This record gives sequence, structure tokens and C-alpha cells, in this order.
Amino acid sequence: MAIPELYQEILIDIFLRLPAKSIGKCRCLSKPWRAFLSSPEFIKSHLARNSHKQNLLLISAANSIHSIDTIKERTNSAKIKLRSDWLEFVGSCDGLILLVNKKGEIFLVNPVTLQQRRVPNSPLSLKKRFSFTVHGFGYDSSTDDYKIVTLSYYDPECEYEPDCVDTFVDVYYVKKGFWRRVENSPYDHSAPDRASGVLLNGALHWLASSPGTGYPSVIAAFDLAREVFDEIPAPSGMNMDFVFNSLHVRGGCLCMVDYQCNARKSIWIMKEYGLAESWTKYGIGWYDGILKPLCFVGDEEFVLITHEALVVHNVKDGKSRDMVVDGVQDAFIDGGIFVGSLLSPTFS
Amino acid sequence: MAAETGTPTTLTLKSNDDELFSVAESAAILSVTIRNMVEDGCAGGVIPLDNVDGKTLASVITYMNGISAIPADEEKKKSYRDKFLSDKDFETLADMVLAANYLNMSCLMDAVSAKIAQVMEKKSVGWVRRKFGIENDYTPEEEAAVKEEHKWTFEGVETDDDN
Repeated sequence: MAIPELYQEILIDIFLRLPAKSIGKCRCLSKPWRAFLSSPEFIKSHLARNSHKQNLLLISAANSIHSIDTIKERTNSAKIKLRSDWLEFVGSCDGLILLVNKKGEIFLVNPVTLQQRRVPNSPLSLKKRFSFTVHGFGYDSSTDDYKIVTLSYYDPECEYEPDCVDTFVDVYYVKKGFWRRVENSPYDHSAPDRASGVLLNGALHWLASSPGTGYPSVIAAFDLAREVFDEIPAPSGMNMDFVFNSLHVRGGCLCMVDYQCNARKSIWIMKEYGLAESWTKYGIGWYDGILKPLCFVGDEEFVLITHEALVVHNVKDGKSRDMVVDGVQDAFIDGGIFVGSLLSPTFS
Repeated sequence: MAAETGTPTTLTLKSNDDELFSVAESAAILSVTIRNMVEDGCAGGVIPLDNVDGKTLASVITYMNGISAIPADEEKKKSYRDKFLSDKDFETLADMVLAANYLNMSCLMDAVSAKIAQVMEKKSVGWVRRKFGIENDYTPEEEAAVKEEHKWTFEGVETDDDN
């Protein structure tokens, strides 16, 4: 490279600070820089350096995807040129996003590099007409692989398999490229809102109910390394009907948002992971008619969809404001946060 | 240290183009390189800084004085740094990052590197090559191919007509 040794080290440090999108440009500088900036080591360092910078990805009512890098009242989104009828944002990890389209097909997408990979259905997947399916996506550091976890069970109303109450668990190993069925979930995942798994501490979390006496509600945590469920204690003293609760991550802590209609809204935060006594309740006043709580962006801003608008609620000052994206208020159906990275969903 | 009399110790720094600068020791030791010289007792006379020119050193000393006058308040220090760097052009920033590296001033290094990254973000490939002296070893065909492959990166990049 035509740069003195000393300068080169400084230049690498500067490159590590650039957003992923600008790194692509720097790969066009020269062959040696292209090789360096494409190496798995650089991509990993860049991700580590930038993992605190959160972007928001939204799915529009017209089923296209849009990214937003700063949350403010009036903002513009960048339409991401990956075409499908996108329906659901499952989750994101290290800049890869798992999306589901209207046909129920799942895709791993990097919204920065515009790479996408269709994930094949599990050979054991249940017929869509007769069953329900939820997904989760995360990283298992013990095997250095990304995993997609699918929970599926027959519709109890269906005549096809009326007596089967099992919840099947299938794991897709993203780098290796195959599915494996693991032990069934011991929990009933049918009661609450069919939400995607929430990634924290190497586990995917779902609200579920325990098959024990009285069907107590629990947080079921699927450990991505051991591939078994653990139980995370729910807050004691809260209304244990999880129908109007949703699970999120805020500031590295598991948190539960209670958005029941006509009740005082609250957020529970588990300050120390796994420790029942660490659940702390915060009262919040906000909009009625929340359709879907989406995600926290940073520690303070909570994004949700109401009947009329996309709303950002600041949990610190208790104020809510409508978010107008590209001049439109209510054009989004799902979304979540991601970090901009150079990781390829194909790992090639 | 002249702690007894209360008079601050002053150091004399010499740039590589022989300019002399007086600076309070308390400000100058933000540079680990200078602090080591002071601790080793080499700071009695004039401290020669062979890798920094007078123009850059003057700027670094302005920064040293400014930042050391701010009490331990990270937010105020950050806003001082932002303001200090806001009007600097790329050449000045490049000189400063090399000076900060030589003087071993991590806070300045960090701030200047971040500022350079911010300036670079939307610049063209040609601009980055020129500013960093990077030789283009692609053939025109290869360059067209690599740019096509990285089409996603070129949205919002400035056209290549600015300095």
C-alpha cells in the first residue's frame, strides 16, 4: 500500500469508524484495501466497534422495507431495494435481519449490503393451513454459528391433527445450512400474542404458559448453545395474563411492556438477568390503542404502532410523539432495530 | 513542580521548523510523550518535537490549554473538542492526527479520527485516494466491476469535483 506504515494504522482506525455503507466505497480504492476491508477479521472488528449504533428497520403497509438512522419527529427513510411482500420482522443479530414475507418464506437480509438469502423451510415444517409458527434468530458463540429457531404447533381448532398439542422446535444452522429438530418445548406457546423470540444473553425468549397447575405464565428462554428451554421468572405481583404483554430488550435488560387497554400502562425491567427480585416496575402514561409495541431504540425511546400513527414514547420524560416518516404517519406494520454491518447472510 | 510558590511550571516546546512555544506543564503533559520526557528529567531545556511543524503544534497547544482549563466534565470536554475541530479543513486534521499519534494524546487522536471519518463518509473514491495517497491498482475494467459489485455503497456519495 502506498501509505507509510504508521499512517496505515491510523487509516485503519479511521475506517473502523465509518458506517458499513461507506466501507463498500473504500473497497473500491485499491486491491490491497479491498482484500483487507473484506476480510472476516476486519468485518468482525468493524461490527464490534459499531454495535452500539442502532438503526430502525420498518416494514411499510405496502410491504416494502425502509431504514431510519436517527429517530426524530420528522424523518426520512431510505427504501431498501430488496423486493418481496415483507410482513414480519423476526429479529436481528450482528446486522443480519430475519424477515418473513406474506407467503411465510423466511429470509436473512443485510439491509446495508443488500444481500439476502432465502432460508429453506424445515423438511419437518407443519402445513401452514393447520398450524402456527413463530421464529427467533440469534448467535451461538459456542459454535460460532447463527441459529434460526422455529416453534410450531397444530392449530387446536384444526381437524387435521386435533389431538396433537406438542410444540415442535426446529433449529436452522445458518453457516452449516441445515435444519435439525430438537426436543419439544415443554411450554404452551399458544396463549399469548404470537411474537418472535427476543434475543438476550445467548437465548431466545418467549412469553408462554407452563403446563403446570393453573397454567402459570412464564418466560421461556431457549438457550442457543444447549438447545433447551430454561425458565426465567416473571415479575411477581403483575397481572399474569400475558395477552397484552410484550417482551423486549432495553439497555441490555429483559423488559416486559404491559399495554392493556384501559389500565395503567407499565414497563417491568429485569435489572439482573434471571433474578426474580430484580424486576422493577415503572409506570408510564401513554397512548391508548396500542396495536403493536415494536422495540426500544437506545435506553429511552420506545417505538410503537397505534391505530393512528407510529409513536415514539420517551420513557424518561414520559412524553410521546408521533413519528412522521417521509411525510406519512401510519404507514408501517412492523419493525425493529439493527446495526449496520458488513456481514454476509451467505457467509461466502 | 514549583508547587511551593504557586507559580506553574512552563515548558518550552520546539517544532521541527524551529518555532518555540511556551506551554504550562500541566497542559503539556496531556501528551504522554511529553509527560515521559518530564518524568525522565529531560524537560529542563527545550523539548524538541521532531515530527510536528509549527503550525500544527500551535493548534495542538491551543487544544491543550483549552481542554485542560475545563474541569472533569466529559460532556463539556466533548463539546470543546467538537467546537475546536469544527472549522478545521482536511489537511489540518490529517496533520493533527499524525501529531496526536506522535505526542501520544489519545483523547485528541480519538476526536480527530472521528472527525476525519465524518468528513470522509460521503466523499468519492477519488477524493479518498488523493487525500490518503492511495494508489489505484485497478484496471478501468476491474474498477468498473468492483464498483458495480458495491453499488449499494454509492447512494448519497458526493460527485468527484470537490478539491
